[in-house]
Amino acid sequence: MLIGSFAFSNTQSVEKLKNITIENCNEKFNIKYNLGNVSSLTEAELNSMCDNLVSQNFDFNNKVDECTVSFTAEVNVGFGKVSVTVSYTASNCATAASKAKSALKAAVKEVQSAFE
Amino acid sequence: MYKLCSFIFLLFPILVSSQNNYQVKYKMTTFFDGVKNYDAKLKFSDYQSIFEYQIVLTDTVTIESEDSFGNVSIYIPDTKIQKIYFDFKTKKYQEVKYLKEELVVQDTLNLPNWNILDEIKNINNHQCRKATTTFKGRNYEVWFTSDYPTKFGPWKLNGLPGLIIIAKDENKEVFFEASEIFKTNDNIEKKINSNKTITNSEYFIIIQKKQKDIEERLKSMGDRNTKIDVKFNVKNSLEIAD
Repeated sequence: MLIGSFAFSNTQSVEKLKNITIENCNEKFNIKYNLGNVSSLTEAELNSMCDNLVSQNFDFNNKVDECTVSFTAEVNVGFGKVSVTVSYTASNCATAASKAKSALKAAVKEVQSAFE
Repeated sequence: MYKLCSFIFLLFPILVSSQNNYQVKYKMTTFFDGVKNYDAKLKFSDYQSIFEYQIVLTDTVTIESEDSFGNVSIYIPDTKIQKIYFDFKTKKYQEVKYLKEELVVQDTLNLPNWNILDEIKNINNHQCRKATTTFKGRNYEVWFTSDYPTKFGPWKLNGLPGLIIIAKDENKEVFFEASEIFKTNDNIEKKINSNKTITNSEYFIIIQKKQKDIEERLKSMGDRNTKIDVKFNVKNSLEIAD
């Protein structure tokens, strides 16, 4: 099962692990999580999936100038799939992750109520 | 005695009307979005037919792919029973499409333009003739038999002077094979009762409008630090062109 990729601008070094790519940068972080297809998850499950990914894969005590956290999720609908990517930029990664997670949950709910 | 005679008299038209009905079970497999097997059946009378197909439930979770990061995409297939009704008298077809609600699409019957060839072969004790067509974006090769005098076939492959025993498309992505053929007393189910039907083109307009609406709604969510992108992926299907 997936899980996240970290992409940092102004790349200086790249560290690759299974599921995770970490690129070092100049205090400007861009963290991307691809959640895959979340159609069968409840809102609570989606919430804890985001929380687990974020807490397991990133140390929020790192000091940064700017942090962007993105979540991508897919939802099945009658005619196919809808892929939603939500990004939030803040002065620290904990806030960015929390806000991006809330926006993703709202977006997934919106897509499901529109098509399902 | 009078009651019994009346009952038989009342039942007679039903028995007569259904005695020429057939049911054909097809092995149906598609390969364009992973390998998917379906339980499919065609029921037909002289002028009407219904073709039903549903994914085999053991195929309901298919691991599609794993990328270089180890991300696994899991596709959850649609387990609804798909039904298509055809009526040669009214020259119409009906099918149910699913968005938020069930939409009944009713449109003019659009038959494939068949090219019947001289090639003949025996399949399961039926003498079959080869025919080809280009239909809904795919090139089909079929083998049909005049042992069953019907114009109906699997899915929307209607219009040949006999029953299709095997059908496959040139890209080897769609496959039908008749596995059982028998007479049935079942009447052809009545068409979908719906006060509101739409045409196929209206259905696509509805999808486009819904996509635009949801895109606008999502992009207006959140504050100035939030960015939301939406992509719509229309699933691969039997029809790849109108």
